[in-house]
Amino acid sequence: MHDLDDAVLVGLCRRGDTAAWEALVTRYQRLVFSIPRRAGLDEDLAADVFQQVFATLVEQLGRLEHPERVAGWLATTARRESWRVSRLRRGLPATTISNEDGDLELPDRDPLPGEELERIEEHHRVRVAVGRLDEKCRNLLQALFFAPEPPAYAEVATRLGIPEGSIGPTRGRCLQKVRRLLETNGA
Amino acid sequence: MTTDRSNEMSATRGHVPFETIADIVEGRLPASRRDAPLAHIAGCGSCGEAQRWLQRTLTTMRDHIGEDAPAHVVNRAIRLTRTAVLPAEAQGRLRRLVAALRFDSLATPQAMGVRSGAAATRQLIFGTEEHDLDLRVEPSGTGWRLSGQLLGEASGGTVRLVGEAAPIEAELDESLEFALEPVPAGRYAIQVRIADTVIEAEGIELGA
Repeated sequence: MHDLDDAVLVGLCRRGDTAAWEALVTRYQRLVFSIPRRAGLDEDLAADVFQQVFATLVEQLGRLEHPERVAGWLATTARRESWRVSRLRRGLPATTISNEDGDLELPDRDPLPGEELERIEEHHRVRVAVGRLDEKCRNLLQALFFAPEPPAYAEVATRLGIPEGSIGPTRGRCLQKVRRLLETNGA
Repeated sequence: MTTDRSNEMSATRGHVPFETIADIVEGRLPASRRDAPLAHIAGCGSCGEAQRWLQRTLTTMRDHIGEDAPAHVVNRAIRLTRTAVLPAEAQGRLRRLVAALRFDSLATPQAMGVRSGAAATRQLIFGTEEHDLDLRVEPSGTGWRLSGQLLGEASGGTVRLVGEAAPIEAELDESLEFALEPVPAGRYAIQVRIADTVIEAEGIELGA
């Protein structure tokens, strides 16, 4: 399931495939949770936003006109819900609004500026692409690039049980796979 | 000449291998072996694009901006489908009623003596056996404002406007009234959720 693209996963969810739903939630859990957290909500409120977003997705599955863009839908809905919860917490009205282009226009300070949301979305796109790789590539790229500091190849070789000399060429092939996946998804 | 050096020097015959560009971006290529590849990259569109892609993507990978949801939060969302992919109404827990259009001011002939001219506000009334939804549609800036009231027994609820974009929501106030704006042009359904019932009115066209 982890290597299926979003449109296929959504299609399976629509047919009641619970494994596909689990794969979809797992794929987007970091994106949907990061948005309310970066908007300043604590873990409990972020968890509420998280649940509401996916509950809304379940209801709207049949209406999504562009299932391949479910990532954008989730990000927009999470941002909107974060704003609504943030306003409720401050005792303000929580009507949500949008302008003619569908962009979120907020009557007060947006707790999550557009640039920050773009950064979260971009990071997530790359992580999803890595997540769809075969196990060998996925493990290698996660070991090399998802750590806070670049690790030594010797350390990575020991951890993954592979020859140190193979890391460079394998890394190159795996990154090219990521590039193809991102290009296929329009990134 | 070592294999590494011949690979790097292939820049003089063709493109720089992707692996070498990755080494340059990661700072793993010794300074003494960078000149030829860098000279090629500077003048080659595709190699330059590869370098930019790698710089951008590796920076993004190392950007620790995201945060994983706790496992119990993820599991709770996964469990949604144990009730919801099998629709809630199929389990007898949620009533979904389609409200019929009973009145549309656009379709009503003007009474005699009333000055002609398009009314700024359009009124639509949808109804079920137990409730009516009085909806007002009026221009607002470059979009529309939808406001209205649910008539009938209810103690609060929510209104959701559903179209192609992400839904727009509002709470019903004490008088069961609501307002949604600005709403872009498009075709919508409106869902009013009260207790265990969803009242849905479809086919609401808001012109561009």
